[in-house]
Parts: sequence; structure tokens; C-alpha cells
Amino acid sequence: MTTEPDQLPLPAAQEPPALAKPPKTRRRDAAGRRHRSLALAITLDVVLLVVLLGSWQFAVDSGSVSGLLYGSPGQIWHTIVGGVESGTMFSDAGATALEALLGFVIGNLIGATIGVALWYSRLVEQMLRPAIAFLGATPVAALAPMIIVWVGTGMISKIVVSAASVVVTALVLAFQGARGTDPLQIRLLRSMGAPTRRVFRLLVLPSSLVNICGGLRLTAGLALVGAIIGEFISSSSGLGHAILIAGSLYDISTVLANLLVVGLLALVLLGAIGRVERVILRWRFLALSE
Amino acid sequence: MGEPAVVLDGVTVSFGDYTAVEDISFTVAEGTFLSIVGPSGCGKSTLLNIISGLSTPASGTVRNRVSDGGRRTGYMLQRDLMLDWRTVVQNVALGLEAQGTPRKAARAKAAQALPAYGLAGFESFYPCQLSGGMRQRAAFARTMSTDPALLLLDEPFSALDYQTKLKLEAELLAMFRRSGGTAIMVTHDIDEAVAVSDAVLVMTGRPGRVAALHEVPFAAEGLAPVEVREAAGFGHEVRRIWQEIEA
Repeated sequence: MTTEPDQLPLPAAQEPPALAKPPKTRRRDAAGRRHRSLALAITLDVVLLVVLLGSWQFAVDSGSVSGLLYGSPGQIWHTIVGGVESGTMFSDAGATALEALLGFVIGNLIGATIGVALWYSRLVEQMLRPAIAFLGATPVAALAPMIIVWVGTGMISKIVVSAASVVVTALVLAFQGARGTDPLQIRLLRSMGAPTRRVFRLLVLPSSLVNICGGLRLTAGLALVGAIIGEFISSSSGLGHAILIAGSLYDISTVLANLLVVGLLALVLLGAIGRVERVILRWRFLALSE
Repeated sequence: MGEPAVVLDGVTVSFGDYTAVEDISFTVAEGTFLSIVGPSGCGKSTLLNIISGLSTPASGTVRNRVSDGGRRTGYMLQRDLMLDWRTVVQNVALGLEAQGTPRKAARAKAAQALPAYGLAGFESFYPCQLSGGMRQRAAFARTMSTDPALLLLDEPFSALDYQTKLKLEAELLAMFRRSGGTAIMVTHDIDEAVAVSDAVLVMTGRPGRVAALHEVPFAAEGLAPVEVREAAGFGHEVRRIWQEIEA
């Protein structure tokens, strides 16, 4: 029972120069092929990136493309360096990250709780169904101004907007996970003498959590978007705020620089979630039998 | 051997206009292993539902003295119904946890039981890592962990390969004898029914009716299911039942 290799194999340790180096054999197996294809993809990516950035910068320098309207890689780099030196990049990124993280956690908690609670009562579920559908269909950007009015302009309001972006999705996922529990499994537990609350704890609840975990990547993305939309509407800090200000000043390079940081933030968040997934849903990553 | 464990008298079950089984009467003595065989759709599984109380008959009576007496019934289905997110030992412990045993004690007990079911060393494996036979073994261990006085089995081995099936039949019989309970098994496999049971109930097709009820001596003689198939009279018995089903 080997686990699927999901990372590149670590490079072999360097031999001490006195000993002869063993001949490098080209791995012929599937792992070797994957390694080589990944290396090729990365190489091509880098080459493409260099070509794109190079031609973009060249176009701006030569005047054929307006640096003001489209920004330039050089300017973006300049902005980032400036932001790092002054510390604003970190404070902005930190603010947005905190809002998104808290919104993500709170939204998932509330959504999951309501979602599994709905399993208990068919009546309540049917009563709430139109409201949930309505909220789910409403774009967060439309709710955000209202939330800002109610909660104020501080960080809390961004967290609320971020959580609002997450809550309906988390709710639906949790509810589907609960309702999707195999009825035969429920019957089995009941036949073994479990009262409903134990069926819930042993079977329905874990089943919903598994479903929620599967949706964590999605809700993480939603939380980040929610945080930024909240900052667009009203904010004094954060990456969304920076993007808004820069956009209104036609400082495209700054907009792009901050967008880059948003993207990096998203990658970090997803990476962390990937780790969480590997722990909570660990059986999904194991090699299947036969 | 005293009062029978399960008695059906004139049981008819319908689903709307469709009559699944008609006028079924038989008795299951306590401590015996009864197999129910018959063509597809003759209502064999319906009978198990009636006995377990999951469905009620349109007419006739069912007496399940095991559940009346508050004792446990154990189920084994064709599907193992293992929980994906639990390891083998955690799944086997599920029966005890369902009854209210605290998690730690349940797992300890389950861990002790595993070797008897051929699962030693597989405690921390997840169901997705096991073959169908191993999963059914775990399901079996889970079923027996609650000490059921009545075992209801619905084609538990029909999805397995022949060799695994024979092995599990032997283990089932051994465990059953040791537990001293009563068992009722629905199966498509006449060989299996004759090899493992004390009695075989033969049903005919739609609507299901009782064709015959045979006492079968082989399992009682203590022969392993593999050896039984070689025993004198085995093939004859199987053929007889086959003809009754076909009739």
C-alpha cells in the first residue's frame, strides 16, 4: 500500500567529492515521466512569462503601448518594492488576509451549523428553502453596501461581507452532505440501537463535514472576493482599497501590483487548505485497492 | 429446543396493487440457520423486512420473539455499508458506539475482535484500501460485535469471488455456532444455502409463495462448506431444490 507521490521526489544528497558519482540513470517509470513533464511545463511557463513581460515592457518603452493605460512590468516591480519598503504592502495584505480568513471561518461555521441543523427538521428545511435560494442568488456586491450601513466601516463589516459570501455555499454543502447520507447506513445504525441523536453524531455530522471540506477551496475563494468587495465599498486599508484608489487615479501599475498580491494570497490560502484536506480527508489520497 | 424464534403465519405483503409475497407460513426454531432461496423477485428480501419489522404485512401475523424479548438483531447486506471516513477498527466499533458504548471502550473491544475475522494488521486501513472480501469481513465483525441473538443476512456474499465466498461461509458458520443465536439468510446460491444451513425454505416466483421447507443435515454434521460440497447427497439435494424453484 504505497501512497500516491504528490510532490516531486527530493533531489539526491550530494556525494562527497572523494567518492565516484554513480551514473545518472533516467527514471523510466510513471513518477519519472511526471517529473519530467512537470519540469518541462515549468520551464515553458518561465520562458513564456519572460517573453510576455519582455515584450510588454518593450512595447511601453518604445511608446507603442501606453504605459499609463496598461502599466508596465517595470512600474509594477517598482510599486511592489516601494510598497514593501514602506510597509504598506504588508499592512494592506495583512488586513485583507485577516478579513478573508475570519470571514472564511465564520461563514463556514455558521453555514455548516445551519446546514446540518436543517437535517433534523424537514419542516424547517422546507420553510427556509426559498430564503436560502434567494440569498444564494443575490450577488454579494449587492448586499455589501447594506452591510456597511448596518455594521459600520470598520474591519468588522468586511469580515461580515466575506462571511456572507461564504455562508450560503457552506450551508448548501453541509445540507447536501447531511441529506446525502446513505439511507441504508442510517437504517443500519438504527437497527444497531442508535437513537436519532447518535445517528446524527456518528453518521450524518461526519458525512456533512466531509462535504464541507470538499468545498473549502471554493469557500476560500469566495471569502477573499467578499473581503475585497467589502473594501471596494468602504475601507481605509487593504488590497481592495488600494486597488480602488489606484484605479480611480488611473494608476494601472499599482492596480496590477496589488492584484498580484491578491493572487499570491489566494495561492497561500489554497495551499493551506490543501494541507487541511490531506489530513481531514486523508483516505481520499490513499491508493485504492485493486 | 423450546419456543421458535420467528413465526410467520399466512403473511401476505403488497405494495399498492403489487403483491410481493402471498400466504407465507413457516417457523424458525431458535438456534437454527435458515436459508431462503428462490428466483429473483420472489420477495425474499421482503420477508427479511417483515421479520425485522421494517414492513408490516397486509394480512397474516409475524412473531419475532427475539426482538420482542428485547434482544439484538444483526444485519448483513450485500453492501458492506462501511463509513469511508473511519478506519477498519473504527468501523467495527460502530456497532458498539451505536449502542452507546463510549468511543475508547468500543474501539478497544473492536481491536480485540479483529484477528478472529482475519483482519489482524488492518486496523488502521480505510475501507477504500480493502478488497470486497475484507470489507465484508469487517462488516461481519461489526454485525457480531453487538452480540445479536438473531442474524438477518441478505445475500451477504453474492458480490464476492468464489474462493472468498467459501472462506466467509465457513467463518460465518463457525461464528454462528459459537454465538448460539438464530440466523435467517436470503441467497441466490443454492449450493451456499445447502452447505451452510440447517433448513432451506424454497420459494417460487411472483407473487412469492412457499414451495417447500427442507431440513438439511450437512452443516449440522460440522463439515466445512468446502468439504460439504463433496459430501454424499449434496448434489442431489441441490438439484431437488433447483427443480422446485423452476417448477
